Amino acid sequence: MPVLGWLDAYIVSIVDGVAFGLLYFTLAVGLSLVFGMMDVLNLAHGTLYLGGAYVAYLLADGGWTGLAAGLGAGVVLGLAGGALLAALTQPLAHRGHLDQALLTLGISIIGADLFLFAARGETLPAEPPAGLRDSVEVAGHAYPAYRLVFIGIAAALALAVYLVFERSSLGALVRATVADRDMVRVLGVDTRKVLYGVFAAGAVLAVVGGVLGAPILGPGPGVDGHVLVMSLVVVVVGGLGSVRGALLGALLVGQVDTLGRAVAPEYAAFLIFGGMFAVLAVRPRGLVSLARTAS
Amino acid sequence: MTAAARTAARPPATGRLGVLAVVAAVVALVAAPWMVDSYTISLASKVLVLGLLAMSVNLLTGVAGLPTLGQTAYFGVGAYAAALTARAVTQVGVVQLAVAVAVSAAVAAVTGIAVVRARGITFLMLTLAIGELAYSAAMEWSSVTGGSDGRAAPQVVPVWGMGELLLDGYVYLWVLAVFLPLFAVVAAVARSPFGLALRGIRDNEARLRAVGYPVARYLLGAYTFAGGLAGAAGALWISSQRFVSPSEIGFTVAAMALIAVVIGGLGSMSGAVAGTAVVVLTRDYIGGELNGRGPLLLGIVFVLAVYLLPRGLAGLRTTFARQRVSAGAPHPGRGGAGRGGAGRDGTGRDGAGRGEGGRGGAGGGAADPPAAPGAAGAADGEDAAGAEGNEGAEPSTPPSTVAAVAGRRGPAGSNGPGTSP
Repeated sequence: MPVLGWLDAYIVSIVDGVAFGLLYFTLAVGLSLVFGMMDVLNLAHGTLYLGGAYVAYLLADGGWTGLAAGLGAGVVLGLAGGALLAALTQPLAHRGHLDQALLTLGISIIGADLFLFAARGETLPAEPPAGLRDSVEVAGHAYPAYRLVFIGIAAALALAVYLVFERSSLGALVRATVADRDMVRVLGVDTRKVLYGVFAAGAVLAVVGGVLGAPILGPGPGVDGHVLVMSLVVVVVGGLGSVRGALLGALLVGQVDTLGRAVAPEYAAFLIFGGMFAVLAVRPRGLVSLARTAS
Repeated sequence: MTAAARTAARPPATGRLGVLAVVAAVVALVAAPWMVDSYTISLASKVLVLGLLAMSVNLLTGVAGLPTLGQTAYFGVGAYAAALTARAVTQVGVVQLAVAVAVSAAVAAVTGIAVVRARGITFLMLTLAIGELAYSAAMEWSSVTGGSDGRAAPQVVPVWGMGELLLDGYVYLWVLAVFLPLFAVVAAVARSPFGLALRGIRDNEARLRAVGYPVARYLLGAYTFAGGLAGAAGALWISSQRFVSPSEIGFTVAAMALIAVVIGGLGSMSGAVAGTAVVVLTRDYIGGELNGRGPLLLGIVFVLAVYLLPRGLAGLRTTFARQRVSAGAPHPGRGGAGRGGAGRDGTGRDGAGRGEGGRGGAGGGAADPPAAPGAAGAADGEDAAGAEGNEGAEPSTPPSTVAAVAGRRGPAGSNGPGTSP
């Protein structure tokens, strides 16, 4: 059975792909909604992840309290970071979206250098809680237990985000604002509150993703840029302003990233490139797109 | 991109004083190796090389209105192509340059087909992905690129018959000898009918399309040209640094090039080079004094520049004069010009199609109400609801929604800044 043999050889990469895909989702969903709604490309989104991962490193004590403290600090940091970014970009709104993106670019450079200073240019180890450090057996292969738990938690997060976005009245408001901000405003809704709320929620998700993801993709130089670009590719592939698109895109990109790296190590970057352009050629707005104002 | 940046982007015609300044600048550049020490001159080579990269960014971002963080990809393609040529084929600089330009322009043409369909921030996002993926490719495709170890190259021989350039001063002169003609070519292209068409696409794509310009072909041409220019910069990087590794084509370099363009002023080629000088000096020279905290300083300078210098260094010249004239009006003259154009060519799209025009257009309408309904109404037959609003002429974008609704309520002047995005 060659198919089963192939599956057996790459099952670890496939499960890894799910883990990384869900990791990218926690970033991409905020990026996608903020962009879909107000055309602000937050280039400091990867910095939020880096901040979360660094918090996880600082507070990790090898037990569950450290993780819980990290999550609590991550939520606070995410709210503060999101509010700060929204407050800093808002005064530039009348000057156009490029200036806003450039501002977040400057912030990301500052953040990256501050981290470099704090970590002295090294990748810091963030250990998972003691009970999750061992490996478990997955289809006959040893696999880190923490990654399985991460997949579970991140999948639950993704489901929660999906349900709030697609099934609640709050989500309907957000979707409406993505689709036609001005019409929502005309209906009497203060869309700035929706924008700030989504900005903050997206930032919290990114930081929490960093806290949870630190044992998988730890705080190191260049991690902020890497997760930013991967989540950008997710957004491009999945389509702007859609949670479903972000989830679909994230799982696809995660697979191409890890499975591609396992099958053809030298050409993984070209595979992601090629995949992104193939999707763009067939569906210029991504697989699922709600946003009408993508220009 | 701001409307103000766009109006300021076209450089004024060069007068006699300008000619003198250009001559003085060229003389100073040529004389530099005899004036300063070798560290400074190698820094100057770096400024010229990265200045070419910034010019290629500026051609897309400032002239064609397509903000990019991906020119490092073509810079890298050019650098690796030149390094491989230098190792395997010849040390002759012009050959390396030609190979680098050809390969990077070809890669830009192929990737450009997919990219130039995007506009605005989406374009920025796509090019950022291209730049980063090029970085990962350089990292992983180690049989060609040498992975994270990079590729070293032998000393450059500019043309056949010359010796190897061993001194920093000679290397600088070779870089300068390529830089000056390229600068002249790019400046000429930016002012040519082709460059004007690019500015037209940036300011009002719909109208250019309507009067028959093949917009996609123009943008692909610009993208290919900019890719070749970045490739030339890559070849000169090999000539002057004799080494390329993934970190030389990473996100930081892409960000620096865009920062240089923004600090220098969008659309101004000399501004792009001046901005590069500011960036390189901040990061390498002053940063060296601050225990290598150059990037931190650069980030702070950049954040301040975004807030305080909306039109960059090149905009400083005109800022004071403009402020005296306009006295508070956000975008003087834009609304009026847009309306007149819409009436003439009948496409019915004015500045509002660009998204931020809601404010400028509304301001213009308030200042000059009688002209608004007539021009917009004559220009557009489909969208009856928009007949009273400036922006009503474009049915598919949000400003039209505001204008259409606001237009039913009252005259154009009523949708003031309170309803604009």
